[in-house]
Amino acid sequence: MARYLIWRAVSVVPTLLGITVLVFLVTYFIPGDPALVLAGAEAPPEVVASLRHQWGLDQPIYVRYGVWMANIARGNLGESYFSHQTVLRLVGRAFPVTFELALLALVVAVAIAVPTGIISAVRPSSWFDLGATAVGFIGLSIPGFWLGIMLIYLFGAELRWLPAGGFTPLSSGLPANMRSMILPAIALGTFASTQLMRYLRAGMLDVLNADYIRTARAKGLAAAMVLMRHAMRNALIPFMTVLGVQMGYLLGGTVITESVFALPGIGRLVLNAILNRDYQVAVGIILLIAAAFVLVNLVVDLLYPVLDPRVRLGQATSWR
Amino acid sequence: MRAVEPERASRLDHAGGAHVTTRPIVTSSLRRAARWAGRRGSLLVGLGVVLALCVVALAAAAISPYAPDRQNMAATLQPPSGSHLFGTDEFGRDILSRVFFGARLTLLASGAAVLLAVLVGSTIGLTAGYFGGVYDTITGRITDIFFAFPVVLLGIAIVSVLGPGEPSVVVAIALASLPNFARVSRSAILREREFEYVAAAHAVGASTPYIIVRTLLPNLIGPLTVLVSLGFAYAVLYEASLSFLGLGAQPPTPEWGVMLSSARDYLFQSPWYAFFPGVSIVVLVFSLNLVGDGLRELLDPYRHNR
Repeated sequence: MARYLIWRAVSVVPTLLGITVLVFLVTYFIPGDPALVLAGAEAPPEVVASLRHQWGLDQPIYVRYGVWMANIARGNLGESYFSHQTVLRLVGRAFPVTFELALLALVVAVAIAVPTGIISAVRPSSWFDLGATAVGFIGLSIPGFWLGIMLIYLFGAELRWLPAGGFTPLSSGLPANMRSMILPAIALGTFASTQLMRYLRAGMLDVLNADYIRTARAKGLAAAMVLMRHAMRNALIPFMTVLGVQMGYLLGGTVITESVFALPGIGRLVLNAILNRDYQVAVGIILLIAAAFVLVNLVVDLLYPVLDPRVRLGQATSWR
Repeated sequence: MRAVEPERASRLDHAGGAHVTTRPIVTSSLRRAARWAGRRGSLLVGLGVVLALCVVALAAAAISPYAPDRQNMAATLQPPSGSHLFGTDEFGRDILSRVFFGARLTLLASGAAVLLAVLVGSTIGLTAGYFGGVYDTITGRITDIFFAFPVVLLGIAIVSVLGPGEPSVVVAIALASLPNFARVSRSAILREREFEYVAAAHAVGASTPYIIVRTLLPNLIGPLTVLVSLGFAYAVLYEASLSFLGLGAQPPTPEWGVMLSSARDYLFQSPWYAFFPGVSIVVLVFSLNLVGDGLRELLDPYRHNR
């Protein structure tokens, strides 16, 4: 057990290193000479050269990668060209919004997916199942940003129940905060819910046909008990994997959702950064989000033995 | 996910194999008919709509009632009417014509991205699965790294190097979809490699490239075709999303995501402006998903669940 946990935790190191290499290469290939940008176009070549030397821009690429990595290890992800605030501070301010959005979207997704998935699996090929599959199929085809726009129109313009965008922080009270977050959460969570539903349904069907479920039913356990205690536990294992992957999509989806609903989260931060050519901020955030995605998946993997004691520990494969 | 597929399980159900069904037979055969029609019919309907949209894209210049960039400042943000079926935008341009021309860019860019992804991805997967060893480990790690980037972030990273535009979008989508193609071809090869026909090909002295291309690749066509159509659906979604964010095509290009991005500013005055380009995306993605699902039923004997 301990060996598995350690092996799995260590195995993300090469992935994380690979991510840093990739992100570094992006910064390396960004067009334009940072020294020239900061010195100004009219600066004499000597000044630019000395700036280049001062920042180590004249060093070979692997030295620059080393310096860059050392900075990251010290928590220095660079700073904004414009506001001169550090990337970490900018992210720290935006993070709670994105975290709340992703969490609420996940709640929406699970709240839709779990009941629908279970009922569909318990009554396969029923009208409910067919309907849920069909609706899920349509949900899979709707771009989140368009769903967001349509929700804004319906609830913000036609019904006037909810604000059409903008963010009210938690400090202004939970109800006001929720009013600004519920539509973004639905827009972001719907897509994930369709995926989760499919997997839960398939997983449950798998499990419900197993012998041990028949035994549990035969010995007279209540149907609900069989479903919740016996079936759910095994059906949750593939579900958790998808949940981990979906977390990553949610992190990526926040960029779009925050842009649609004008929420001041990390997604809008990174998008504005790239559109304003504030590259240090953009690249720093890309690095953070990719690392976060890897770590979320690590946590999901580490939860496996808890959910499923039979999991074959220490099984080494290089591919997912 | 492995043993019993949902559909197969329900088929067992109806045959009275695994479970005794207590539902009336009439309803059950009616449902079965609904399911059957759903499957075969959906593939045909999906294919029909996709082909129709391809024709619209190709013939956009001929069938559009107006030039997509013809402005008419006297008739801006008009609701749908006889002369403008989908209404007009903020410059008085005909939205229907712009939707027609938008299909071009979307189909072209998503198609290019998927083609790139399937070529590079399955080459990596095929060779990794066939040769194994260190090469397998390294390629596995690399695809893992790309897997760690949500497509929007890949898009942002690539735009920071190449600048905004459709080429960046194509590369981003291709890179994001590549791991899926690599993974599926690799696992298919690992399975096929064990069969005797491969050993037989070796025995008669076939070269490695010959074995990979001529004996193994044909067995991958099924799973890959399914994956291509489903990947195409995702590519359309991503293409529209990235353009919507301003990373892809730029105004005044007629493109669905770009149109939606402008439409957002006029949402309360003219909601149809945001409605029609969005519905076009949904229709195209939905049809591609139908095709993918239908093909999976027809072609993929191993029935991947991804």
